[in-house]
Amino acid sequence: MQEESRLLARARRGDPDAFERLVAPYERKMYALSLRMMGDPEDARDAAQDAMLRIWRALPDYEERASFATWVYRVTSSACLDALRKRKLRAHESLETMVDEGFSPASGEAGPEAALMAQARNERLAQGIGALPEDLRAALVLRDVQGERYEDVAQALGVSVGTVKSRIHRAREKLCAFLMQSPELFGARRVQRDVGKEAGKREL
Amino acid sequence: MNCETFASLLSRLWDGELSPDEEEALRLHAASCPRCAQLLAVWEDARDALAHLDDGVQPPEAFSQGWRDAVRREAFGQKRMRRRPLLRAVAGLAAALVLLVGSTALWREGMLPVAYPDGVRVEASAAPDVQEPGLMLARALPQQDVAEAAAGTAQPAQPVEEVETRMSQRAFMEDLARVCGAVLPWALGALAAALVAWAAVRQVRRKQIRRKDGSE
Repeated sequence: MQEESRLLARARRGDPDAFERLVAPYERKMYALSLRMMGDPEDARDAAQDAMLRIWRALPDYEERASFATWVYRVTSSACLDALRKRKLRAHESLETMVDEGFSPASGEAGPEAALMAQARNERLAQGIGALPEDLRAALVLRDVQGERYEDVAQALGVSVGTVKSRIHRAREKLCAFLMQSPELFGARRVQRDVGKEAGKREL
Repeated sequence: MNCETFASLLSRLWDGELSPDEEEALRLHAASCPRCAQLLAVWEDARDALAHLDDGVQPPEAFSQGWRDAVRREAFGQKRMRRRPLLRAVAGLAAALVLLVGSTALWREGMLPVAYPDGVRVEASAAPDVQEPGLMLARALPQQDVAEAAAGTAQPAQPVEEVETRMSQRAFMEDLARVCGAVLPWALGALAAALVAWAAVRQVRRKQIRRKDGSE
């Protein structure tokens, strides 16, 4: 924390080295947030870069009312929303393009079939997120993908905690309604497992 | 529990906010309602998948290098702007003053050499292989001769070998004093006004950035 304050002071005076060290820990999350918000690797890169420059320019005016991380996500969300307003939301790029741009689908499951399944699920999720309205999408990504607390999401988006909870609830409902259309990817195995559990209980 | 209540509890289940009793009631309902069981399974799958969606995302090199380069460019530009702003302003003012004095002197009573006949020395001699006699004529002759030459009524021009203009030092100093007396207060006033306007614009811009980042 002390190190962050020291770097912050130096970066505010225009030291680019200090700025690099200050924001480097947030670089990956900023890009990931942009990727989910923009739904396209190239647009995500542009929006995240724009966000970095906004942070650099606005650093002398940062008043430390929110934590630096929250402020960074606020500026990134703002840059993404501005970029989205400037263009019509295009259809999502395929997962192949995302892989080319540095995305590798994470999978805790072994074997090529499981990896393919995880890849297909991630692609479907990305499509579902991209289909959400922008305000719901920002709240959902910050909370459920990036794991931020409700209070931090509210600060990052400049709305109340109640509004954030409402947005996230609606976003989850919409997303899950979309995912219900792919029962082979979402829910089927869990239902089978639960049915198996119930049958086991009855036998006992 | 009915299906509507069941659906309203799903978001709290997602966040782990349900009491053990509430969760048990929810799962009991799901066990007796295939549609709600499917819904619950999708919500839980989605929660787990979203939490790991970005595990493999790494920022591409173009982004990592791009923002670093862009920030360095801006930092370098800002440093140059910040470095000795007063000197830059004074230098600009001095350049403008010199330009003003120079042009005033030149246009004081017309174009040289008519304006300062004493300061102009023209030496001409025959040089048959000169390429642009017309141009040299214009430089060397008074204006009425130039007009005659243009109309074709003048005698064939003598090619000019050397044209040297020398401004009268006294006249220049007179112009300088006159311009300084008349223009310097205005120039300083304009500089002060520009500085105030710049500070105001900067303040407004900062407020805009703060409002934008604070409201979104």
